[in-house]
Amino acid sequence: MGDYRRQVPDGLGDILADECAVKRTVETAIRDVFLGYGLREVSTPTFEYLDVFSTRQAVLEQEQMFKLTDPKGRILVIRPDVTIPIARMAATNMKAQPKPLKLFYISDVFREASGQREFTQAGVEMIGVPGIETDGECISMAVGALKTAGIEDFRIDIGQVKFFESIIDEINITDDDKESLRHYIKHKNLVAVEEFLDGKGVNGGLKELLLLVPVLYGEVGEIIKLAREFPLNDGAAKALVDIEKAYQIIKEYGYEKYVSIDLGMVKELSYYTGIIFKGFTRDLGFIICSGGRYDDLQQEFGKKAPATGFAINVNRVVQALYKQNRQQEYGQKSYILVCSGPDRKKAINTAQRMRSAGLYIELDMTEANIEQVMAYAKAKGVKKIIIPEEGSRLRVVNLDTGKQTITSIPGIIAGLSLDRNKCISGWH
Amino acid sequence: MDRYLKIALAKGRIAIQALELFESIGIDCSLLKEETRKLIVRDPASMVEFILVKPKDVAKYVEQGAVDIGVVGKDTLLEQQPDLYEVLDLGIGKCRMVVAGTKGSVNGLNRAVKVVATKYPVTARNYFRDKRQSIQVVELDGSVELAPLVGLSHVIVDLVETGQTLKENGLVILDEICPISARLVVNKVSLKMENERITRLLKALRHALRKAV
Repeated sequence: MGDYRRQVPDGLGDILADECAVKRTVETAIRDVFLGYGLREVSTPTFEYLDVFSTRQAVLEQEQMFKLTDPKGRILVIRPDVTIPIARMAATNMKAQPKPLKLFYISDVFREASGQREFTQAGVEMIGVPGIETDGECISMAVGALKTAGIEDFRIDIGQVKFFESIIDEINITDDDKESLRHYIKHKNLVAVEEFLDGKGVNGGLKELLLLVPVLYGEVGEIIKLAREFPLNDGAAKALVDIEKAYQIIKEYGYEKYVSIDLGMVKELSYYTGIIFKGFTRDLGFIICSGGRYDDLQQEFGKKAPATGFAINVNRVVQALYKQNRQQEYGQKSYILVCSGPDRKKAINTAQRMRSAGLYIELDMTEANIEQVMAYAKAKGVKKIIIPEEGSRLRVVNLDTGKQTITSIPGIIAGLSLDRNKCISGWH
Repeated sequence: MDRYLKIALAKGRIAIQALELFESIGIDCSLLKEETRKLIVRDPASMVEFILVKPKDVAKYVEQGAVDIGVVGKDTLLEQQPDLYEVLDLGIGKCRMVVAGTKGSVNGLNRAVKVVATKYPVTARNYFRDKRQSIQVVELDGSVELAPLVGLSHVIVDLVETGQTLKENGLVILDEICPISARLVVNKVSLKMENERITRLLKALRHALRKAV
């Protein structure tokens, strides 16, 4: 048997202080954006019955879920997803609440997969909203959240699952065949799409259109225009109108430069019924957010209700911030206050007053010499040391510049708010 | 255009053919041909960077976004099923994935549980699952043809180019699973973020391939 005392399982990991601070800053920024849209935060249990995730609308394979058995032998799973539990919550415990329900969450999810087995999702669920305007609002909210989190140069691709689904309804093929075709389109595998269509005897305009679907991505207006050059059936035509409606909202928010279209985005999660979207950024080969409309999920837990939502992968956002060198530095509000000798009480009193003003004050009571304190502060990323002087005077040593200033508690607090303004303008 | 477009290639025969293709569309690959030790080679004129990796690793580099583009055999894609865009059949490195055995192993195919020796366990399992047949896989690293001869397995699932090796070892092809060739694959984010350059590259490659036919 191996000795795993010093190891953590694959796909899980400690988050050390600097990165944890960045991650929490991102979460707070996203939370503020969601609250700003009038959404309310909710939280679902860390584990639930397997049955919740095994409805007809189930999206997770059973091998993707971590399972436990409770003392009565029932199978529980550790939260693999939040959309489904919120659908359950909305249909049961929130049944009596006025619709629409505009909810968000910031929760850890757990999946048995290569790479990330635990990650944080910050997501939105809008339940009881039929209008495409809400899809547009969700996409705008995702743009706002990613912007506020500090991501640079990101894009969101919009699609509509019914565009492709309506087109393949015209071909008389089995569900398995449809799944194969969906798979080829999803991978933009034109060779396989063509072979498949030839095998099924699909010709003419329909073949031409299906061969074009994987490459129908880019600027929204342009691609819609291109798609409309084909004779589309009602379902596919309506899908394009949906995208235009949502895009109109995005334009009204002034976010169109962040948004493009990909009509080759097919239904990856079986519960999607309308507009879907995916966000990504430079320097990171992974999707950082995804979402869409899921009008049929609620009925698995009660009454049918239209719904739409999305989730941001917070860990991926943090990864992107580091790659783009945009992570906010630790230490803006942090000080080490040297606290030794007979003046200890005065130092503690000073620390308490500054803490009430929102500063982070660490007391050094080690009786170490100033060089040692400075070395410790530097290693930790704390930029300033405070040494109490005569009366209420404080000596502040700035480790970045080496500059020393004599000031007071109000002086430090006033200086910080100046710094903070500077920092916020640089951050956004 | 401050960023290099990164292309992962597997060293070997396919890479040589792929490089000819890239040269034909104006990317200078001469450094790659002479310097054999370097794993990263750049052509500043076309802003393309080649990265040399093991065949089995190409798809991983692309999927994880360490490179934008890769050249990889369909056999590896079938086996690893990575999440990426498979945009072009380069028509090089052509061969077939087959089920093979001794003439007598047709009998083996009728057994309840067949033993299948292969370097491609996922492909083998999927093929026999679609045929509603139970198998036991023996995963080997090479010389798979040996397995049925020494009684390690009933049949093998392997790549066949000319069929010469099979023939010399007294094996026959029992069924063809699918044709195999090298594919150009693209990271899902790269295709969008580097759309213009990648689309231009794809167009040029398609044109070159058509001319070659």
